[in-house]
Amino acid sequence: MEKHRNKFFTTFLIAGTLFIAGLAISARSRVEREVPLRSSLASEDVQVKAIKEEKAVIFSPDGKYTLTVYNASQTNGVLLQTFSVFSEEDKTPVKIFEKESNAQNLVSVPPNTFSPDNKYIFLRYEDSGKSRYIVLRTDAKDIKEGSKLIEIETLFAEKQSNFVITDVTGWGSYSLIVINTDTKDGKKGPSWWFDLSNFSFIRLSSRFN
Amino acid sequence: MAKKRKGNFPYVITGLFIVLTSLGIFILKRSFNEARCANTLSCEESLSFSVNNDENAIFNGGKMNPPEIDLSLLTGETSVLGSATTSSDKRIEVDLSTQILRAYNGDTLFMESRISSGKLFPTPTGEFTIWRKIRSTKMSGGSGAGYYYLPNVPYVMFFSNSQVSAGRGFSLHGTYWHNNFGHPMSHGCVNMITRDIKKLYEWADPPTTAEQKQSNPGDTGTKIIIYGKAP
Repeated sequence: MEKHRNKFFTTFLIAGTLFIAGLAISARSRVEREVPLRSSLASEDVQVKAIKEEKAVIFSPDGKYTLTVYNASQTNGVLLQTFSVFSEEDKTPVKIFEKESNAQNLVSVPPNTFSPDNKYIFLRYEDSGKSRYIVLRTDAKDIKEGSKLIEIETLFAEKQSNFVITDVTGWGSYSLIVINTDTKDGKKGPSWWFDLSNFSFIRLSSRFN
Repeated sequence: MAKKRKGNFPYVITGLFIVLTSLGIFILKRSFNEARCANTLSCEESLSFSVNNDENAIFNGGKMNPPEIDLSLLTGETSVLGSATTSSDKRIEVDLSTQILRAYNGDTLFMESRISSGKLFPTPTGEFTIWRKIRSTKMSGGSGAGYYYLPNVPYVMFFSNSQVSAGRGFSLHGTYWHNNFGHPMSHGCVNMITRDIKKLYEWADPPTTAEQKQSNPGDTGTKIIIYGKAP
């Protein structure tokens, strides 16, 4: 009788343990379950790239600041590109950047150009078939002592010679720019923060695809 | 001697049961806490309307100023005269693979916007409905370097279905702490550009204007279809 009772008791305990373990596993897997309903759609490039004489307007994410890009043809065949910013409160445009460009090195406005606090913007231009990125303040003040802009690529190459920048995607915070890199031999590299508070590069454990 | 050993057997099993049960409960509690809410620390609090204009936000280790919400503009009313009828033709589609949201009224595209879906914790896929809209709330979660505290998260539209319960707090909402749309960044919610979600908030059902604190309790709203796999 006692033998049967022990057997029943043991079976009950093991079943209970398995039940609780099962619940724990099921709760964990439920979070990761994905049910794709449709196939992917093509991604659309929302980049604003003025390639002829025209004016482009880009709003900050909160709509409080506006960046205007004006391309004006010069007599020598180059375009004079003028970048200005104005705020909702103060409608006076502040010229933050001007450059004479041609079709090969035109400056464009990438997606996510404004920092979340609207204090900075980053821009992109082509140089010998390679994208280069510059950062500027939206109030036209020096971003670094004696300099209105920072060119990310050059600074990165000075500090991280084993990686090359493939993309600058946006802002991870007020002063953190998100950078994707590859290794020099073409393998996928890590993402980095470019920290504007001290102009350092912080290697990240995950990549912003 | 053998009898004594046999007599201890139930106690050994009982001890083992207690240890394994405790372990099971620990794992279960951890999984539950991670799974239950999109924002693990604020959890139920993030489902409620709140304005904290005097607080700083914390994200990626940095302090930030959340957008001030003008309480004098907000009304407690939860219904809008003349727009109480809901349109079943409205739907919001979120493609996680391209990180693009599109809102349609029938076949007409109302809006297209880049979003940021879940990075560390995935955004659930499936067909949902908006069950609540609130003008502002507080969200917090994570730990260590990943800790975040975000008061005044604007234009929050919570969604749920039979598999993803309302209490887990998944939502579409405005974002003032990053500008990296088009790339996964969130803890499971759908982060949106604030100027875009403001328009979507006013367009989507249940009917609410930007000046209202929240939608009517129990009102169900626009369908949200989330699909694809985030990059």
